[in-house]
Amino acid sequence: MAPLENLPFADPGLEREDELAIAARVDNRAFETLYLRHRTAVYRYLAARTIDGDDAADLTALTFERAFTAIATYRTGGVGIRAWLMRIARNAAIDHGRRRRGAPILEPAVAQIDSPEMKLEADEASLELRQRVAALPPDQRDAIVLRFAAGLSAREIGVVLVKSEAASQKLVSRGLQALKEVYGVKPAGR
Amino acid sequence: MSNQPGADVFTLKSGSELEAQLARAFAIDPTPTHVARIDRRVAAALAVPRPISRGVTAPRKVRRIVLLVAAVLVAGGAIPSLLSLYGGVGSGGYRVAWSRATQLDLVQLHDGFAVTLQAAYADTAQTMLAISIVDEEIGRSSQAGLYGADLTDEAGRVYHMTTGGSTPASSSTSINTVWYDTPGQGTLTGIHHFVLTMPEIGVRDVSPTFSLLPNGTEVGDPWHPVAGPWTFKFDLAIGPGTLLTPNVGIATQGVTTTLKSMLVSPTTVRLGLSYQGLPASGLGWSPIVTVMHNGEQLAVGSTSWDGDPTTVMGSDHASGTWVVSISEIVGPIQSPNASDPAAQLRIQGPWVLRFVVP
Repeated sequence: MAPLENLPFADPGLEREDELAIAARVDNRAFETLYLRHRTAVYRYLAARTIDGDDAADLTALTFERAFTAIATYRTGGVGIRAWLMRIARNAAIDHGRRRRGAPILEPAVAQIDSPEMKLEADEASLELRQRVAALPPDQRDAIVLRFAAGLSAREIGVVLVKSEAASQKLVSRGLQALKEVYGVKPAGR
Repeated sequence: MSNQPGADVFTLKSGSELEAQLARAFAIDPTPTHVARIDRRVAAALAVPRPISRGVTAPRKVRRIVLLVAAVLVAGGAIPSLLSLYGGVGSGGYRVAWSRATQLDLVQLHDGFAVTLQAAYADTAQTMLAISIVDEEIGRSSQAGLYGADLTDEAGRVYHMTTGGSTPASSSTSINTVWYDTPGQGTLTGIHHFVLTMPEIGVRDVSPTFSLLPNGTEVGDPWHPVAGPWTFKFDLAIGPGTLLTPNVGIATQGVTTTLKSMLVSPTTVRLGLSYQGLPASGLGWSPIVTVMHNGEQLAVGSTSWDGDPTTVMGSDHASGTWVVSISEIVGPIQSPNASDPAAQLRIQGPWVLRFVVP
């Protein structure tokens, strides 16, 4: 394989991920690498959308099962495998929400207090902040969770939410602004 | 939620503090129990033989790396018997194939790498090869794996690789199984003369070096190809199977699903499904399907090279009652770089197709 610096890719990390995704079509080890690399991010995203850790774990597994089945449909050269995985995760979460007979797609984060493992993880400020995020309008909530739980860029969020990069950035900004108002954060420079 | 600051609201002085707190708030890591649970399910998914979709073929230059699947079986030292290790690397149809495989033990040495075609199995649906690779030079590599194995027969028919697995058996030895679709749509049987060509193998460096990008991505590839070729010629009998043409269909939600053919072999059952009335044409539609044969479920684990669903177990006999249930037909997942990435299309069923084979 040619050294990465000799390849015409702007982001060697992305190129490496794409290479892994191509290899993962036939190579279980490559898929395993992708899985290990993105397991936590997918779990965090799903944990932010579900009531407890069990659901989040099951949906994480489902996400990677579906990804494994569909890896041949992943196309390289785009935003990357992480956004692709989050789209699958989001679809899995939506299906899960539907199966829960009308339960909100993003459960209010207060419900997570009931989960002991999450109770251990969270401090009071985090719990309160998750509650605040859960109460945001759905689009903003989705964008904030994708940004801060899954670590996606605006461009990647756009891919997941089927919106432009600018629209995604706007959703994140509006969500942050709403939270700033709640917390009384003054705009910078004032 | 009130939009006004209240007494119960924690103090955040700046936007960056808010963002940092958001990152902390959502940094909910899975517990070890949950990690184990996820790992188990994903490992189970990876253990099932899977397809290479014809619709999205990897670039020709991309090596078909077939590498580590399971844990190291024997850490270092002499290999007691590579052949004996093959029995434990699969289940279902693999077990059947392995128990009926023909032992070949054809060895070729090239650049100090001994490649052995240990055994082969073929039925009308699938062909399996068991290939061992040993680096004869101690300490030169830390693992050796399969990068591709092209199989043809005396008539020039190409056997398309569908899946494979590799298990390291020592620090520089691997046992590999490679699966192909047997061509001929269920009609090819009898003894045939095969040519197996492995243009190159993959070898892992003893001390690979990686560098980390600022985003934490590892850069570097410990694997490099070693050119061959290793070529094997051998005769093998293709065992029988049963090609059924039920041609039964049913319409649900405006979509008619028809089971046009079903190839039943000892290692797998391949479904030839067609759909009419789907909202979008093209490749990539896949059914969520279960197959029951005389009350026993045959798990659908992958697809053939053509994209047909295949089960991970087969049957020696096709007679009896078959029930093919499709709960959902899932459309292609659009790639992130598509100009208009649509949501995943899903058509809800069920479509239940029953028929009896005398």
